[in-house]
Amino acid sequence: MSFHLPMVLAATVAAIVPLVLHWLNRSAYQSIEWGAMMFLEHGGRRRQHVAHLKMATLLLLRMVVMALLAAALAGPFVAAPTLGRGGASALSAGRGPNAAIILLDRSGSMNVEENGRSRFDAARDWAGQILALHKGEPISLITLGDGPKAAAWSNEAELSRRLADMKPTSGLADVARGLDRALELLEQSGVQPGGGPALRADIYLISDRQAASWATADASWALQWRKRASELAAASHLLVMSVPGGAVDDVCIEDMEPAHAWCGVDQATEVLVRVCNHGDSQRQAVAVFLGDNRRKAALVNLAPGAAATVRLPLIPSALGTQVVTAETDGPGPAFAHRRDLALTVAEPIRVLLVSGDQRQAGQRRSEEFIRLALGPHNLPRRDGFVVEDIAVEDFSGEELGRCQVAILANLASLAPSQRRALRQFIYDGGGVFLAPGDQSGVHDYNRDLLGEGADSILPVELAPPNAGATTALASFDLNHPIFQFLRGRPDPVPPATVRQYFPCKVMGRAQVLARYAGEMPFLVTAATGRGRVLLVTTSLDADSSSLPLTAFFVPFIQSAVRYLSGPAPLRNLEPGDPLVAAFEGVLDQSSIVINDRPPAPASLSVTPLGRRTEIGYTDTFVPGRYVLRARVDEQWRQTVFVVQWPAREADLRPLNAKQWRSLEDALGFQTLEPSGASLAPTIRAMRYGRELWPAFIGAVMLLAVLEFLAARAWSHRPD
Amino acid sequence: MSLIGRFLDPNLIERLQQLQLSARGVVEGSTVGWHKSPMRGPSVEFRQHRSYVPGDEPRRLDWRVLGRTDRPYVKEYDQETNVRCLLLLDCSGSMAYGGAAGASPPTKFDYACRLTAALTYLMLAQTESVGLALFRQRIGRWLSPRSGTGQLARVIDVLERTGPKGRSSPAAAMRDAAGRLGRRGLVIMVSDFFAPARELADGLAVLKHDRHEVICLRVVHRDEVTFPFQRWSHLRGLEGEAAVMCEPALVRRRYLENFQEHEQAVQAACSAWHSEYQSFVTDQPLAEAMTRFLSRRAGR
Repeated sequence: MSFHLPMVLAATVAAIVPLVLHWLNRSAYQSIEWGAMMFLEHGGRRRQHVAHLKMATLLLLRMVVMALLAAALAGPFVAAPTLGRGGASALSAGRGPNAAIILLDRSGSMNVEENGRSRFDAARDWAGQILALHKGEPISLITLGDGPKAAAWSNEAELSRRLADMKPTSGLADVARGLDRALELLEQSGVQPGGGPALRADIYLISDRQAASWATADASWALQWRKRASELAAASHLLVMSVPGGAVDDVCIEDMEPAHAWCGVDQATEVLVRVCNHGDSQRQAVAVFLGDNRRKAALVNLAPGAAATVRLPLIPSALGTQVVTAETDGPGPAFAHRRDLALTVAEPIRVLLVSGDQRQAGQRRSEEFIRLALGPHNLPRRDGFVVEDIAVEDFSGEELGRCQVAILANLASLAPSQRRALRQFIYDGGGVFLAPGDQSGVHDYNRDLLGEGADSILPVELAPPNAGATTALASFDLNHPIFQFLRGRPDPVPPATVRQYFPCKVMGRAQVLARYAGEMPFLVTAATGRGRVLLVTTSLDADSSSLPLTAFFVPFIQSAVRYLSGPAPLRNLEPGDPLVAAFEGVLDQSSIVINDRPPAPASLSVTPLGRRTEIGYTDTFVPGRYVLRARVDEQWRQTVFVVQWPAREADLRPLNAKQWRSLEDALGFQTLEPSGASLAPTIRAMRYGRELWPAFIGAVMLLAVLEFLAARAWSHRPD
Repeated sequence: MSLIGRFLDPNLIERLQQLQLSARGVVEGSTVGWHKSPMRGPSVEFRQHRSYVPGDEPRRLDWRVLGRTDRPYVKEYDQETNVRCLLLLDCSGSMAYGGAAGASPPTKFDYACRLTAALTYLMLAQTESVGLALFRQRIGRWLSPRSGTGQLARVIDVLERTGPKGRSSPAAAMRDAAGRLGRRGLVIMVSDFFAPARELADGLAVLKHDRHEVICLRVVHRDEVTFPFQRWSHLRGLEGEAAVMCEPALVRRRYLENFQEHEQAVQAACSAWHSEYQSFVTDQPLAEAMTRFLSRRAGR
């Protein structure tokens, strides 16, 4: 509490006037010799105490009345707690806030409609009221759920126009990041000549209480933010306006991914669609389908809080990237009922299998196992691999031009011309799978394939094989794409026995992806130029290990070859991930459009790499489809990307009361609950404090009446 | 002014000559008077006939009845006697109150003395016997009931020599008086009765047991009735009670309640023991107050 006229507070000494009068009266007493004492003492000491208590009460009431009257004349007021230092004193000195920052939640949860009106509509109304209240002051509008845009000061008219066109996205709001941006904006506002901040802003956060939006606002962050705001002294108040909302029954498509690593034209494939029920009630027969194909909808039953994955069939009809849309008909916000997936339909991977095995066919040679692993159906368009088999004697190097991946199985050594062709192949982006065997000469390998830097094909220095020391596979780097197929398996390590392997010394740039029980590397990879090399340190025949006879072998070989064939184009992105498209040919930079609009130069990067041009675009914070089109060699080319909405955004569960109170305490904000009342009184009270003199005068009158009634009840004047 | 003139001014004497105080019940006097006596004796008030027994005076025979019936009957008459009246005067400290500082007398004791003297004068004028007992916690000065004009002088002499002080106990004084009074008579107690009503009732019970008629005359000051003080007051007890510093406005209500409650209790005790009660306030002229009291008593 502060006072407009603190000097007047000196008048509170008037509170002692009743006391002084009391003592003066008491000291001027009359002395009487009294006979009827028995009527005074009747009732004993307790009654005397009661009389004293009554007298003290009256005296206290009179003193309080005088003190309150003096305090009321001093103009008391209460300033709302401020974030910065010296908030109340600054208000009383007339240095109140002079700017506003509005954080507006545009995330997917704001799409939820109740009574024909979305949460975002309510939020927009409130934002409009705030703008009207801050007319003439610098105002900044920071939107949440559409990426970290640069915050800037603007004015009421411009922001009103922006608000009118604004719609909610399906993105995830990060309240903590938004509040950080508000402070950053104030930090950039500078310091006024007097030493204080140039702008003192009230920060308004308009959002629902969706827990996902506050996920990053943990206790340590809140502490840091409060401390930063306090030190900055430019943030006056934080008012959180909670738009109407709460838990809503919603069923959403939480995730979507292809069931198979490769899909080809006219080849039946499947899409895995994960459906989740975030509501509190059981959902029966929820239909999930691809596109408009409701006839092939899968029906699922979902318990509260449960999720289910359904497989939906699909036959791609053309090469390239296709956008597949899964839909469901459950309750909840519309954005959560749809999810797009960019499906890459590719040609089979061309593999050159060079074998140096001298044994007869059918003697469990490594090349046979590899070939079988890459073509289990012997149908290249179904298996996804076209394997060209060639003996090492016939390998001239020219064959590498027809393939994407070369597998060197059990080669004794390589001729210089073969080594040169292989190095060039890797440098140009090809992948080489080295699988030495009993024919392989360790010294020849080390001498011919181990080199310096980019010249080196071999990622390790091999030692002679240790035969007879049986071991087993022990550990895998499950985060590596090769072992992606092992994720989620309860026991990913195959029960294979390795009877012979090549001990090796890993070179500096190599990465060990799997090891034997004795910690010796089993699988090592290294990047050379634009290509990749993968080395397995045991022969892939059935004599050196039982690995080819396990269920692990086929997916392992296929996954390794896909890895070596190069990274798949990244078409499914998360909000904020940059999209990258490469075009072969002469690109007209001015022709680049994204969703038929020229991209903002700050978000676009164009990198020429010879005849190849790589285009990057970073403003991908709003979920949805991004169609990038450009003229290449005088022809329009396009690439489609899908930025998927975050699965957490579909979880509309709000923060509970305890969590909200904890945030209130930590961040020091005031909450304005939804109501039909105008914001103006609340905001004025928050900014300028609340005048207390009417309350003081009321209290004075009340106490005066009380004193009068008590005096009348307790005292008796002679008739 | 003579001593008598100090206690009995001519105006009061003139008014008293028109008044009369008589006993309501039967009393046992020492001489012939006009009050009823339990004795049979010469009188004009016929009571009854009874058969003659040897030893009766022959002059009491009803000769007419003897002549008509030939049986000897004796006529009996009620004896009339004078009243033996004892005046019990409270001389305790509380009777010394005559008003707050600066107020002029009379004190309650002065008023009570004048009342006592007036009653003595009145009773002696009716040829009654009047005695006086001054009491505090017990009876101190005792003047036996006598008749005759000399008794008035003796009473006034005693009053003149006495002053109020110390604690009082009307009940003890009543018990004491009952022990000293032989025959049944009239006891008039003049006091402020600032004592527990229950004790007063006990004293009355003793007197009534001895078949005395009792009249309680209460003398209080106007201040004691209204508690009129305005300023802070330091009240010091006249009978040795602890001093009290008080804001009169805060204690007035309770004081008056206590006072009235006590007065009602005293009245109730008197009523229970068939005693007469009358309150005198010192600011009332004594002549008027006595006239009112005696007229009311006579009218009953």
